[in-house]
Amino acid sequence: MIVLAQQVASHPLSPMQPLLFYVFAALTVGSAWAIVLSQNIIRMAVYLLTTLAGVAAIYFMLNAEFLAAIQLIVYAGGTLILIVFGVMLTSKNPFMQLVTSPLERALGLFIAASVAVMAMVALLNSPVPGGAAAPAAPAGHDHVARIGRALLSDYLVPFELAAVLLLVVMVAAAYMARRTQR
Amino acid sequence: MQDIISCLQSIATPQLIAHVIVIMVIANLMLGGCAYLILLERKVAAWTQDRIGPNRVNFSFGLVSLKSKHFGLGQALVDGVKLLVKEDYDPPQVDKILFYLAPVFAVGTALVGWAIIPWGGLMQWGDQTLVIAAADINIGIIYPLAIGSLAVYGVVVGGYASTNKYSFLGALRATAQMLSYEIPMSLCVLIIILMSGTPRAEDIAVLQAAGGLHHSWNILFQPLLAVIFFTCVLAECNRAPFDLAESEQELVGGYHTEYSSMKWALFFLGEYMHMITGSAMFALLFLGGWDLLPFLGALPAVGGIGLVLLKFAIFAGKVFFLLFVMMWIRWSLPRFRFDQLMRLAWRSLIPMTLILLLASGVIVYLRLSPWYFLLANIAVFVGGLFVGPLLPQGPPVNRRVPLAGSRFSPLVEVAAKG
Amino acid sequence: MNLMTEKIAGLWPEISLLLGACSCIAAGLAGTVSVRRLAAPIAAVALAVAGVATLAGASPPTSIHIGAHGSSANGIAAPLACYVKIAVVGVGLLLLLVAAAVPNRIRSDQQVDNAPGSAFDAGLVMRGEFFAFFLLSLTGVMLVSGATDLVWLFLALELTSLPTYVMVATARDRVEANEAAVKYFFLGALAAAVFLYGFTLLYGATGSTDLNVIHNVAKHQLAHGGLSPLLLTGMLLSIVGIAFKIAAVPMHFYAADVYQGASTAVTAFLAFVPKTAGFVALILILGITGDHTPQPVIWLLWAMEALTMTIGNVMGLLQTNVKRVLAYSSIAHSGYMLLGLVALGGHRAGEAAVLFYVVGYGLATIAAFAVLGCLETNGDESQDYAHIAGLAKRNPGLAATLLLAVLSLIGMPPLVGFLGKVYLFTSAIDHGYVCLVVIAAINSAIGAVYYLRIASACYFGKPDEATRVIDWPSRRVGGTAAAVIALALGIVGGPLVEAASLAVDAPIGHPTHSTGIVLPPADDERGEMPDTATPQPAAPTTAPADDAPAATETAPQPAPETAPSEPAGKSSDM
Repeated sequence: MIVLAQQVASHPLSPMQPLLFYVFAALTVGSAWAIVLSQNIIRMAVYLLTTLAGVAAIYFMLNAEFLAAIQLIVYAGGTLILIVFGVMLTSKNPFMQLVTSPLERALGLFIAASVAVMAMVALLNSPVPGGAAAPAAPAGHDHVARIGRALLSDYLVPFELAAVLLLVVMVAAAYMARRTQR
Repeated sequence: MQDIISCLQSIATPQLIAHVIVIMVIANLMLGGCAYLILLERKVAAWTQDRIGPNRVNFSFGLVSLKSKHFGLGQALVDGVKLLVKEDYDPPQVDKILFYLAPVFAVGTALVGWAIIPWGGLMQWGDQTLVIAAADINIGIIYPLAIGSLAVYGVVVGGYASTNKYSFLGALRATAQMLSYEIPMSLCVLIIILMSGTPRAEDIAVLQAAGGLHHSWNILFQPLLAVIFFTCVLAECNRAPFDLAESEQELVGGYHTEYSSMKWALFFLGEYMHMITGSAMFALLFLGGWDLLPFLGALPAVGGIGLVLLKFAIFAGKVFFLLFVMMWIRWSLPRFRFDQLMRLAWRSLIPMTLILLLASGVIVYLRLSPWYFLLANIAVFVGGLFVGPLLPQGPPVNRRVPLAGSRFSPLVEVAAKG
Repeated sequence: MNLMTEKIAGLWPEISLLLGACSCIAAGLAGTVSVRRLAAPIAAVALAVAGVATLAGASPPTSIHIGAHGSSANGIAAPLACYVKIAVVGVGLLLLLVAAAVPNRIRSDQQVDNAPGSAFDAGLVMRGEFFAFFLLSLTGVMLVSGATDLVWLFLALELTSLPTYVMVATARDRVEANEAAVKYFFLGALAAAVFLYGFTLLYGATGSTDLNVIHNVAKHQLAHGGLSPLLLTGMLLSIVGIAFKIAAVPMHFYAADVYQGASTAVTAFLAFVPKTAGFVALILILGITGDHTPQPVIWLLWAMEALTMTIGNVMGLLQTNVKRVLAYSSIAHSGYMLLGLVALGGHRAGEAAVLFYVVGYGLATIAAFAVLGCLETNGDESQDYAHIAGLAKRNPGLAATLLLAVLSLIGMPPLVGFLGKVYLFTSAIDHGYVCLVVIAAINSAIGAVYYLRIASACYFGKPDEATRVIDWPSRRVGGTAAAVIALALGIVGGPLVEAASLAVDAPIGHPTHSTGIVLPPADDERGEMPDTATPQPAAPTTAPADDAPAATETAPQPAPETAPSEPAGKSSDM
């Protein structure tokens, strides 16, 4: 359905484009709120899933299908489910409720509000730089190839660095798990 | 108003209409087909076990008297009605929101996963070439992977929300299993993208259908890869021999123990639709999609409505055959043990696909004939046979614990001697 | 393909460290204990190779280095990278000497060592991974210094930090170590989120992740009505997030607990490695605006600097645990170093002073921690003033090392700390931050109290019965070497300062300068001299003038010298 929506919405004249954007944006932001307000960790994960899916849908609407798919595969289908798995395996009682004290709530609200205000002020007062320099990706057919080329040329070092980082994490996890096993 | 109409006119291109038609046809076929797949499953089970299977319910439903039993084809409809009218019981302790959401995840992901399958190839329409698929996106076969990776949520959320230890264990098993088998499956897809030079579904089918010695079905070039992919599809669908998430001997019903009526049926529906999508993916990636026979290039890539229907029929036939194979396997093979399941993924499938990926990369880079892929497959298979036993084995799993009274207990032997 | 080889052309030191790390892991998986013990020598060899690769890669600096990946924000990255890499190799070798015995303290390893006849359990000996993490973290610092891209910078910073979390957790068999690691990990993740958010804002403000492009956009914006608030916010958030790596004020609160909980050698590692990475990253981030650091950033740095120094020193005064004292001293020294970052602009003397100071601080603090690590109280690490009391009577060598270290940390004249402070303070005064320098001077005085307390405990205290000196030659050699180098650098540190200032100055197309930095003269890397001397006309003039310094200068230098001796030293204590 998302795909159909994207097909329809990507049409320049489509009245659905802003509409769909608001729908997905509301989904994203609403479920992000729900994550913060929820007290059950698995519910949080499910809300996070809808947040991630909402972001992926917005990527779809921007014709960045590859990014959207990777977002779903890596975050929704990989990382998040691993978190859920870890929580279910390790916590003494996966059904427990997380209780936040009013003080913590107030503090969190304050920090969130200040960050939001700062970001909004900064955003609203700044010109959008990418407007001319980086136009929305055209609905061409070679995105994947272009991303691949960029990763192996301009971004070769960060790309390999990410691989090294993941290697470190993997060895570290195995190392620490092994250590406690004895 | 005028604006909206002109806008709608500009949107409603023939391509969009083609998409909509395909969506309507396939979605309905899938939903209806699933009911009959269940019947087929029961029939296959019966044949495997030398029984007859459901053969009584015809289309009279007891209202009129019909002579013919219609091969029991009415069974599927009756089953559907039964599931709809059964009592929908929610156990009191469940997490309501998640309990209701889980079947939605299960069916929702299954409903969108097949969007890129090019059922009918390309169609000439005036001066336009229409893609007969539900969607034509440039990431092509990466898309079903993305959707498929979400399928696990139905199981996990359902198992968790039930607040039942068997459901919970089922959910845990399903998570580990589906995460593990996603890796070799993605690698298989990656290899096919590498071979084809494009992730677009239609292009992959066209390449395989081009005819000649160098363009044929990928299963001929990559037989080992095809086997691995099929294995992963089975595991991703939670089908036997990988149905540990719902193994009834151990976990009552696994993650859907607490579900009843239509919510349970939605899980079932999701599983069968995943089977269809998985089979379609296999047919697309390895069996040439809508191509009739390998090497011949019998069907042109673009054609009229008749060709589209023929291609659709061929595609559907392949999918049907693969579904039959899945059922055949289910009723022939015993279930894996969980450690065997994990070992299969992590110690066999993933290393083999990684080596194949490397080999395929080299072959593509050197622009060698695709038959070198076959060579690589054979080499990996034979190498695996020889190297596998040499690899360090972990500590013995499933040790025989000599519990008093168990059949491994030394006491039993003593008693027998004495 | 060409592009790919070109991209990694400047990265041979990093690659050699990475290969060394992989070899360590492989050696750590070997079937026999003797092979597993090779991990530390392998790490030493990898570091030495990295040093050689840095020097070799740097020899024709104008052509290869700046050409290959020197297209950084302001043209300073390539020489900066060379300086940092050499510093990392040098100090890294000292750290390796200090840390070589760390796995011996892990109980499971001791079991294997103490019972050679017993069955070998592969799961119990875990040397390889420790040294692999050690090398990977150093790789991260090197990569930070070469970063030309925000993505690269972020990943490199994380590569620096991630292994340290594991090192903190595993290098000591105590609950406190695990607690410290968990704290460190979560706060590190928070900090990473903050500066990553800053990076995304930078990207959003400029439309590019390339530091060079960002620099140009910023320059353009400055020329046309000032920086956009988005860019500014991005810079501020990045600085606040990176403050975690250097343990500066808004992100300092983890330092004491983590330093205390970690194994002493690992603490020495924490005091130098993430801090270096953080300061280099800060230099790169501040490089975005070139010489015109925006006023809010200056305010932020000003406030961070004053608070960091004051909190670090005042809290340090209140501690009784020497490791905590040194942790707060680490915070305080970050404050001093921020002084150099405030004093930007012009000829960038401030950044040069920071780069010099970080090495000087690293040497002194490594020496202090090495001495602390040689002591043991009741089977655990010695941490209190009482434990080091009377050290001079039992082991004058260790006591002298500790004395040199704390004197350098105070900033006493013949030592490197003095020179560093002088450069920092003068650079700040040059830029008119007299008030800050006064605060810093007051703080130095406060800090002197607890440093001298350490020294007086060591020389005038009554020996503690429960404490004993452990015979770990490698650690002692490492600590002593660090202290001696700190002394030597203080006496003849001019060339290193020169190198540091060139590292940030380095106008492109000024071959004299760039060679000067990259290749400290009188290198004992045989065969390098002729190559480097040829390209520049200035070489003959500098050579005779700097004759005396040539022998001793170059903080990096001890590196290759100590390298060969080290495996021998290690084998004795394992």
